[in-house]
Amino acid sequence: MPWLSASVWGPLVAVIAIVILAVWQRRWLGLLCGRVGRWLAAHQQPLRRFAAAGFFVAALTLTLISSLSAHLQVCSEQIARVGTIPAVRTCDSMSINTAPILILVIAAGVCLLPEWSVFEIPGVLRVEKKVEEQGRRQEEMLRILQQINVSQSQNITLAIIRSVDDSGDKLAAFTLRPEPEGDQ
Amino acid sequence: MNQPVPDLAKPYSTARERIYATVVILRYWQLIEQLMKLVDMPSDRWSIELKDLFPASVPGGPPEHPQQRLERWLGVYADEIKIIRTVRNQLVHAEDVNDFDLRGTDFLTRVILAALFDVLPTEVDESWAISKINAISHAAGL
Repeated sequence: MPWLSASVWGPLVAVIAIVILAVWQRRWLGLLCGRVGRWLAAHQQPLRRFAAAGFFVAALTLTLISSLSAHLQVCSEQIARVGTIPAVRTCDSMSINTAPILILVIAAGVCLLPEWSVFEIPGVLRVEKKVEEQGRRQEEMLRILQQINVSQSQNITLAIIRSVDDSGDKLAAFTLRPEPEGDQ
Repeated sequence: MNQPVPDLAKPYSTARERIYATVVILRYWQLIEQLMKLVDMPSDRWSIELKDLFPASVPGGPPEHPQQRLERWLGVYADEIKIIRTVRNQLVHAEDVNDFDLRGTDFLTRVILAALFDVLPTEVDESWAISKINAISHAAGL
């Protein structure tokens, strides 16, 4: 059956995988040269969302067409319980657990994965993307600290220059030594 | 007693030289910390031995108790001491201190310590600082 054969699904899965990798990772986009690569890299987030929406719409469309028409049916051979023919072919509409729909839904989920902070199936599973967020916060904190250090270092350098310039006057003030006349 | 300002922009030629400068600044700070504690000691509790570590007066001036001299010193050189403390903290916390700041801090510290003890800034070095630290510790029991 064409819908179940590897010759159809192999290339389809490969195309979906390439799309996911391309929209998910900036460095994959960087492989594309020139203006197109830069544009794709700059619009990574909307592209990712657009791809996810595309996968969802495709899944929905497949399901609707399969349910409302005679096309896009999932067929299989079953052993006949009656009659003389050993096997009969039965066809059914696509549901959420059929391979094409599952692949499209998973592809959409993967595209949206970088934007998820929490994934939860109530009472079963809860995955929080805390490590990545904490890492990002730490990087931000380090960047701010470095800026403060640079600023502080510049302030210290200026203060040292000022103090070195004033060292003669300070010494005179400390030893109460009067300023020499005509030294202006 | 004025000392020509060294070329502060000159980088340290070896890592060893830089480390030595760091150690010396930490040693100077140890002495400054001792002096900051000493200033809180009432003047009537100063022993003769402790008084003798400081000049009795400014050149050509009236006698001055070392405690008063220390108070004036901390007041006049408050900005410099703040700079030295900041650089010292950066060194202790392994923060990056550039060669200019290190040389400048070394120079400032020698200048202010020389002013307090009425010696030439060139006389102020690590061994001098150690001898003062030991003498103050012994005389004041710090």
